[in-house]
Amino acid sequence: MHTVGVSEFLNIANEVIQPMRDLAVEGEVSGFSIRQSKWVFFSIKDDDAVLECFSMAFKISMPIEDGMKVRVFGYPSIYKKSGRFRYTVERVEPVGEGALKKAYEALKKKLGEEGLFVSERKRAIPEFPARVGFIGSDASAAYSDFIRIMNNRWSGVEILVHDVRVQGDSAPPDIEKAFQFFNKLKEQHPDKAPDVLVLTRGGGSLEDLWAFNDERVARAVFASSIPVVCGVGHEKDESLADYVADIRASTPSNAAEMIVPDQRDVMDRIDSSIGYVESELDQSITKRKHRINTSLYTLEKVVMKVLADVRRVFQSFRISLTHIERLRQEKLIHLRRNSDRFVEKMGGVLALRKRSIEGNERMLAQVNPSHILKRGYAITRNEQGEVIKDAATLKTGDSITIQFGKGRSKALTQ
Amino acid sequence: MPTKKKTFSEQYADLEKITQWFEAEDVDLEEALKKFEEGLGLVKELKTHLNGIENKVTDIKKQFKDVLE
Repeated sequence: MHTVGVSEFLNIANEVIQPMRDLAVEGEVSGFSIRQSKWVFFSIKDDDAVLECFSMAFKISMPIEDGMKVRVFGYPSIYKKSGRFRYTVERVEPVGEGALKKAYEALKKKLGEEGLFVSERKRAIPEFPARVGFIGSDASAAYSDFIRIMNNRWSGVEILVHDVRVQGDSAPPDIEKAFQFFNKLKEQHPDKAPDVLVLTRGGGSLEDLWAFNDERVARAVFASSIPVVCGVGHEKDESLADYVADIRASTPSNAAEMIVPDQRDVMDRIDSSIGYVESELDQSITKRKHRINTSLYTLEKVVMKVLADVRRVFQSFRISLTHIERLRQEKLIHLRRNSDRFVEKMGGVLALRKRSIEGNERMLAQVNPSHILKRGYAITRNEQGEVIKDAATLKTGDSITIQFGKGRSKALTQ
Repeated sequence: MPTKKKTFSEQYADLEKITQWFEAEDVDLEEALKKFEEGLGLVKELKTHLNGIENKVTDIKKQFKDVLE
């Protein structure tokens, strides 16, 4: 028999029992407590036995409460300071529908309180995305359904497929990485990054879909700077990823329907848009035609009125003209008649005058000084041209002018 | 510099802008004819997009090795 110290004994014992890692242990939780927000203590038990468990808070990804049935993964050891046997838990997962639902409800409550589901955070996705990031299994029916519906509805989209595991332990970190990839792509190559991400998986049991209730997945969806559409399982299924996503689709096919519009609808919209534009243009032309016609009509009315006015003025002018012409004719006749009478009268008067003038002429001829001169008389004028009627007005040597019946002569008085 | 071809989304937005322009009370007829023609061009391009181009599936593991660590 070999004898060893307590410490060494426990070292040996731990070396023997710690390799029992292949065994996961199932049982019901009791006495669950977290100390200093770091250390987690609880027991799992069945009808006959109890196993003390120890873990670190960060390793527990699901909310645990007493009475919940769980499966723990880790290794057994004896804590040397107390000599107590306990199971160090590396990972814990709920077991059975009841426990899963409980865990689900508890996490849902927690994330809800943190604000991961608030509707104010939900972002709209572009109406016509150019690129879509697919996070799911590329070998699944969900994938082919999604692609088929996308192709039926829309064209010209680039679908960037990031294949991930969608169930089992590696699914949550896989999905987390895919989100990180797309967000990194957006940072590094914004022109190549998707406008929207779709996280999807076909139907299955609650356990199959469990990855989509994982806190890491929920947080990855929440943290994504690219909007997320989540379509997991069948219509009745719900997952925490659904609640966090910007848009919740019921199935993978429905996710495609949410992401792209049906091109027939868009074609109709395009047709009705251009139809509307055409009819507006038509209406605009008709309205202008009508306006031109109205203007023409108004103009015509004005012109007609002016024409009528002119015609009326012209008419009355013509009447006046006729009247004037008649008056003129009358006056002319009257004038002619008067002038005849005048001429007639004047003829008599003129003859009379003529006779009287001839008499006077004769008389005048007799008194005409030149006639007298002709008879030998002469007229004497002084230097001023005044007729000298009295010799006394003259002095000796005055210059005088003597006018004879024919010619004149200058002389000096003696 | 060659202008980058507009995306479907941008062209659709342009068409919507034209439609909205026509919703205004009194539109200038000459401008309206120009816009209508522009609209017809957009419709042609949008329909070509819808009728002709298939979706493209890209496996990111092959395409983006630089982003994936």
